Amino acid sequence: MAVRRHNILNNATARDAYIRGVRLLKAEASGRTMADFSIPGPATSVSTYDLFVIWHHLAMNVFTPPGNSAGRNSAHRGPIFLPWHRVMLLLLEQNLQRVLNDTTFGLPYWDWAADGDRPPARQTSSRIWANNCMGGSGNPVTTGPFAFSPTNRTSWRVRVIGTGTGSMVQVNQGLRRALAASVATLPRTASVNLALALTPFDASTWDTSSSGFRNRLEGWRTEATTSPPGLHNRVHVWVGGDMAPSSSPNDPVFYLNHCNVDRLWEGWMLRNGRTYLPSASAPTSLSGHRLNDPISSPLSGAAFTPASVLNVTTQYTYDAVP
Amino acid sequence: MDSKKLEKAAEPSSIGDYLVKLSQQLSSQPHQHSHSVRTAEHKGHKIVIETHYKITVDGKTLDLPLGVDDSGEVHCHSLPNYQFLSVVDLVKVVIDLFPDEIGGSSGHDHGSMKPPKREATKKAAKKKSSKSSKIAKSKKGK
Repeated sequence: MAVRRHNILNNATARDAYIRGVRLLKAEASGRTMADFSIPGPATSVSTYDLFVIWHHLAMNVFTPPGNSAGRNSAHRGPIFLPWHRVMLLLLEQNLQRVLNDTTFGLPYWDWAADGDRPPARQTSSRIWANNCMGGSGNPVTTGPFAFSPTNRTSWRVRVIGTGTGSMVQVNQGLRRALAASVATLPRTASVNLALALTPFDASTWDTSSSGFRNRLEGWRTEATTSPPGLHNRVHVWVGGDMAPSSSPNDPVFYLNHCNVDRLWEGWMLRNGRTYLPSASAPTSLSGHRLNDPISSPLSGAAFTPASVLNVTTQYTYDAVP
Repeated sequence: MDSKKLEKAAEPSSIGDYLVKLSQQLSSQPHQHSHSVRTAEHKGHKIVIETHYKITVDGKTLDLPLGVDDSGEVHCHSLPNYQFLSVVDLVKVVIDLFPDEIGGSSGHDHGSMKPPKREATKKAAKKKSSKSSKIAKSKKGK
């Protein structure tokens, strides 16, 4: 049965379950240690939640195909951006259902453009940053369910981060956010609507200069009146702190952002059909991004491809699609 | 989508096994940080452009996973949501985001990111960037 994904600001049940679920995954030992992933330092246990942090970092270092100068990797900077993150969210959602013992749980999303329509000074005071939701800004964050307390071992701890030089290191520190410090405003609904009107899904050159919907939603290009970063990228940069580097899933806001990105993709497909480019017969220079290429994930073989995740309505639906 | 396969793939042991293999594959691949190769064809000529950045901050080498795309914009895989017209601006953001790696920071807020232009007036950090490009152009078939 398909689960329903809700706006986190409109559904307290989904909000509270999400918070409880990610905290449970953070406390659950995955059976792996940092040493298994060649992360220097002690062989500290890796939580199930942190497996997803490591996955996101590693995916960024898998170039598709190897050596491509556009910097396309197995999850970003190309057409695969939306399918790869759809799979990542599905796997996290499965784990949340398991630890919550609730097969009806659906990931909530953050409609950040609704906050982006507010005056800049009021964007940082949105209800999403309240104590009963994601908590606020800070280094470390000291409010809400992910607040850091040096004396409380069960407080939210960041345990692995991506470095500037591209490796992973162990840490034991609080979550960091710097809301609106780098860019002043969130994306607006008008920018979302302009993106939704774009066709096709993606286009040559299939990278960060492409003219299609995917590139606009990923945020490398914006409409003429706005400067990059746009949409998805802008949300990462606006939240800042741990949302900025390759280990950005350290902040549970990561999934709320990507669930909204996934919702917008769903909205685009409802308008334009469940279509995807590049096609299966596109040249090998686009390997890893074509319709029937395997998505880099724990499911080996061809079980997860862009084609296989275009219609996931048997898995989940949204309470509202633009 | 096969729900059972999805359920199986989502098991922490499945994810862990996959990530171990992936990290082993990546660690066995040669790293060419700060180096990128662009290729193109034009009127029967094959163009190869190799770009190598040598970056130092306060005299210390900073080996960043940089790339240059065909439009000439620079990206860094440590900053997955950024792209820059200038590598100078990129290094400024790296300093903002990873002060522990740079060292010698004077109490800079670890979590904060300042716009590069504003940062340039604040920072005393000395940066040096040199870029060497080699353009090889050869007639196809020769």
